[in-house]
Amino acid sequence: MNDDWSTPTGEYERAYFETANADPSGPAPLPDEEIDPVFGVTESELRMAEVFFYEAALESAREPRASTPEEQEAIADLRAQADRLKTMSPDELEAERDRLLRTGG
Amino acid sequence: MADPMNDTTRLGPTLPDIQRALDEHYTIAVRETVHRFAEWRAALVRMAGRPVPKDYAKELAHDAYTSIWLGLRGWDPERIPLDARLCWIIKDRSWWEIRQAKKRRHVSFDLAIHDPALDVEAAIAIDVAASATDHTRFEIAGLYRQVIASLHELARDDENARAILRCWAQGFVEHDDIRALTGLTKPAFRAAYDRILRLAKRLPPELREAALELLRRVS
Repeated sequence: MNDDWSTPTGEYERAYFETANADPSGPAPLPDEEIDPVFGVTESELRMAEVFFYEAALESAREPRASTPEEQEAIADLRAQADRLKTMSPDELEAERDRLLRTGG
Repeated sequence: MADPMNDTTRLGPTLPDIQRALDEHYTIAVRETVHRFAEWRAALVRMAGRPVPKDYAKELAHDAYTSIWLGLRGWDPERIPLDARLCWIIKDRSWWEIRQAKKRRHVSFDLAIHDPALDVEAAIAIDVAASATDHTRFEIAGLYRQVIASLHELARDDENARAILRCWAQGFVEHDDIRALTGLTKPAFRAAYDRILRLAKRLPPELREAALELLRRVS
């Protein structure tokens, strides 16, 4: 029988992933994953931590607070830099593209 | 890490449409958020031992914008807020920088200590600098390990949080994708997501202090 009961908020709705046989300590590392020698954890654990830091830092950065004068200057510069892109020649844009490809941007 | 927000199989807007949307969505609020996020990531790159310029946070933020403007990175304005997209690109780039810094430091240090022209004083200076870098990197690694342990602990008794964390570990980031993969309703996803993020505020005091101290030292 299919149990389709759920709370009004759906809080306890069953997840897509079957977790009954999962490692109770959390997401299992992939079988052949190597341990990163510096961090001492697997790549998938690093990915998980990186997403956690990303989400937490994004939420924190979105919290309203007054900007410092240095931040205000940087924020104004960012708009000016963005506007400059519109006036760049094809060669200049190509140079920007090459630079970003080199730096992993 | 592959860019999970850069799904080229989806038919999205054209580049001119994206450029118009970029221009429109790049508000003061977005630039504030993105610049603050970039400052945090710039601090992490410095901690990894890579010397970066004073305006590095601004460079990260502008490069993220430019990469979308040029079509190197995708963005669907209908699906992802601009600040989230730019911050993800900054995270990606800075993670790449952290890894590169680690490799470069080993290469330059190995070359330096084998240079017969290097005098004793310079060799000691390099050794001290390398030890300092190892020290901060050890602390970063410790921070990551403790956060991972805390996430595992949360996941143990929380099925929905565990499902989200499993998605993160497998490279899925977009909230809509995670909800589709996990079958979580929007409220269930949000509740579990909030429980995970509350972890950032519930980290052991010594861990929070360590993170703050690291940031103070590199800023």
